Parts: sequence; structure tokens; C-alpha cells
Amino acid sequence: MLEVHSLQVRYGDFVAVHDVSFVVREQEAVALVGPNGAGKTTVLRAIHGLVSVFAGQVSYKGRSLLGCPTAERVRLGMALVPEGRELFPGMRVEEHLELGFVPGRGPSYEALRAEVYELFPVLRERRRQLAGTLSGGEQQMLAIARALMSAPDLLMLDEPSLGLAPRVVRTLYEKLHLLHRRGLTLVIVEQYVHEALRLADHGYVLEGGRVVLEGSARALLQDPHLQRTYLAVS
Amino acid sequence: MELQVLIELVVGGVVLGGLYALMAFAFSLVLATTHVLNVAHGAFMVLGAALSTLLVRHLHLPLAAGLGAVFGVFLVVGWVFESTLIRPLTGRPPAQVLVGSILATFGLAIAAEALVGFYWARAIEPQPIFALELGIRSIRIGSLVISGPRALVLAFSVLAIGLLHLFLTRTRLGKEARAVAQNPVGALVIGIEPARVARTVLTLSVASSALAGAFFVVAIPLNPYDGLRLTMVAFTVAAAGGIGNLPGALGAGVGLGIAEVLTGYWAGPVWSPVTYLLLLFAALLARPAELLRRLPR
Repeated sequence: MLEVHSLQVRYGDFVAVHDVSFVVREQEAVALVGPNGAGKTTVLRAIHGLVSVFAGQVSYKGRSLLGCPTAERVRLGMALVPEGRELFPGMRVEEHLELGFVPGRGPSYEALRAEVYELFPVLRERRRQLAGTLSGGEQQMLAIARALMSAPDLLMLDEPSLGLAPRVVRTLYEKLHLLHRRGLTLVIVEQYVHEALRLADHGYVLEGGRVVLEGSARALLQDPHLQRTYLAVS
Repeated sequence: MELQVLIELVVGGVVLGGLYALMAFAFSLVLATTHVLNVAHGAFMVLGAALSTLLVRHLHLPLAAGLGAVFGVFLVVGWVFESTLIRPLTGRPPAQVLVGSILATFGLAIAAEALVGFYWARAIEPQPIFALELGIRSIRIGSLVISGPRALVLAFSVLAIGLLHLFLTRTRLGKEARAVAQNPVGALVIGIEPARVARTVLTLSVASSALAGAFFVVAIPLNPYDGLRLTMVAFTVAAAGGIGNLPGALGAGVGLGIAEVLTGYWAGPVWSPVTYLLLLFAALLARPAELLRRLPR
């Protein structure tokens, strides 16, 4: 579904991503893990068209995304839950869902909203509340819900567990497991390596803007290098 | 002072303040969604006033037709303004958009004022004054008498602010505009097109300013060189009320309108402009962080 080939991204003279290639198949969950500054977030931003690609290729459903604006990518079925959530603090929960909805992409607004409320019942309770007044966990759920309102074929999540209590992270990952079982294709960037690899089918380890290790998520969980560097802490 | 006079003055201030709130809100919505500081905002009001005066007073069109024509013409003007002067700036860093837009619209404001002043003086009357004198009867509420034109202007402000509020809270495009103002990155991520929002907000703001100018001269006459002063008022009310904040603009606009009218009565009309400079200083002293937060860095 998604192919990233020799991706290179620069911010001015600084090369944030040197050479990253990976493939995401339909209904698969892929985890991109690695330390801070490895270029994971930049990879997702480049795939979604928020930063420009310096070299390499990104293609989605067999079509090159070169020069394709973000709005068009959303209409093609790509959705990103960005790092830091990027909600609209002075707008109501339900308004986020309305804005996330993309007319003409499958189900009706009402059907999608019902689905999203079923997945995150707390959002239904808070539907008239302003996003800025929600707790961190609820805000993350809203960011995911807003992305789901576009009925995406590919959902990308950037550090969904950042700043959340372990209990909240577990609840959140239960929902992601559910979405995965329902057949949604996922790309997840995480520092919480354990949770991400337990969800994923396939994993890529990024360091210094390069893929240094890849394999099935099961194998990566057993990998001695990865265990030493990341898993020991979590 | 007699209570009757005070009430009359306050009513005058509220009428003026409603218009101030309307123009300030359109001005600050543009600033918040696009980072464009439109120095020509007041000039568009003056141009709207000039066109309505020309159509209704000199060409004897019916009032409603004249006002409708002003709105229609300035929708086109706003669209052209956005595509020629503002569009080349989009996509640049916010600070560059801010500075670039100040320079471009300042030039436009000066040019528009000079051209209208010059040609109006040559073709229509040597001392250009834009005003609409309407034979509308006064309204009496108890012992309070409101002149017909003032009541019309107040009704327009209330209606326009109400419509603006509905646009922002009930329509998809209005919600997109609020989303862009609150978090441009968040808006971009979910597929909102900033350029489309910018075009809509700017076009609507130009057309509504022109219409507000046309109504302004029903109550208070303007001359071709009032544009920059009106922009100053818009900026002051927006700064005091909070950029992109409709209730704030309403409060600050009405407060300024009343303060200006009372100052004019007690100290003389020359002192009226001092009131908004004082309010601007007060706003900057009281809440600099709020103002700076909303301006791009």
C-alpha cells in the first residue's frame, strides 16, 4: 500500500533523514522505532506531504506522491495523528470530528461519528467540551478520532503515548489493536518500543536517519541489540 | 449633565461601537487566519462609502440596490486584491507574510485614498465628503429617541455580527477558518487547504468592510483620507478585544465607541482620536503576551 524508497529529507543544510526505505502492505501494522532524533517524525511528515522530499520516492497505492499536497493525500485515504496532537484548543470535540470528515470518502458523517464514539465512548460524553479542557489521554483519543473521521485506508500515528500515564497508554493501545484487527493499515512511530512492536507485524529501527535493523516485530522483540538499547528501559 | 443627554451620547457610542466591532473583527480574523495585517482595511471602508454615495446620492439608485451593489462589487474587488497582492505571499514564513502584507497594503491604502480624493474632487465636488442622508423617521422607546439612520446602522451591525457568528460556528468554511486560526499545523494535517481559507476570509472581509463603510456614512460622514484612521481603530479594538475573538471585539468596540463619543462631548471632537490611542496603550500594557502570542514570530 505504501512504499518509501531511499527517502532523504533536509532542513536547510541539516540532513534529518539520510536513506530510509520500507514497505507497508495492506492491513499490516508497521512500527518505526528508534531514539530521539533518529528521523522518525520527519519520515511521517514527508509521507504526509508536510515537509518536502529532497531525494527518493514515496508511493501510495502504486501512485507517486511527488508534489501532491496534503489535502489531496487525505482525500486519497491517508491520515496522520501528529506528534503533540495538534488539536484546536478553542473548538468543541464534535467540531473536530466535523472537520476531520472528508465528504465523498465512503461512509456518511453520522455513521463514522457513531463508529468513533463507539471506539472512544468518553468522547461522546465530552462532545460539547472544548478540546483544550480535555485530559492528555482524551486529547490523544480525539486526535485519533479526528483522523479516523476521514475513513482512512492508512493511519499513521506519531508518538501516541507521549506524555501519557502507563495505564492510559495501555487503554490507547487496546484501541489500536482493535483497529488493526478490523483491517486498518497502520504505521506507528514510537519511543515506547515494547508496546509498538507488540502491535506491529513488522518493525524498522531507525538511527541517525537510516534504517539500521528490520524484521518481523516478533523477531525484533527478541533481538539482543534492541533489547540492550531500548527494551531494557521500558 | 442631564441624564437625557448622557443616554443620547451612550446610544451614539453604541451605534459607532457596533460598526467598530464589526470592522475590527473582520480585520483580526484575517490576521489570525492568514497573518496578513491589512493596512488597507479602512481604505476599503472608505471606498465602500464612496461607491454607495455615488450610487445613491448622485445616481439616485434605491438604497437597497446601492448597498447590494457595493457588496457585490467589493466581493470582486476582494477576490482580485487577494489574488494579486496577497497570494504571492502565501507559503512564506508567517513573519514574512506579516511584513510583506503591511508594505503591500499600506501602498494600496495610500494609492486608493489619493486616487479617490483626486478624482472625486475633480468630477463630483471640490470638497469630497461621503455621506448618505436618508429620510428615516426616529424611533421612540419610552423617553428615549433614536434617530432613524442611527437605528438602521445599529440594526445592520447587529445583523452583520450575527451573520458572521453563524458563518464561523455553523458552516464548514467558517469552522475551517477557526481551525486555521487556532492551529495552522493541525488544520493542514487533516487536509484543510490554507490557501482556500485565506481567499474566502480575505474576500469576505473586504466586501464586509466596504458594506460597513457604506452604512458608516449613514450615521457619520467620511472623507477620502479617513481610511488609515479607521484601520487604526480596527487594530486597537482587535488588540484590546483579542485577535480573532468575536465577543472581545464586541466589548472593546462598543467601549471605544462610547468613550470616543463622551470624550468628544466633554473635551471637544479634536480629542476623540486620543481615546483609541489610550485604549491601544492600555491594551498593550495590560495584555502584551496575549497580543504577541497571536502575531507570527
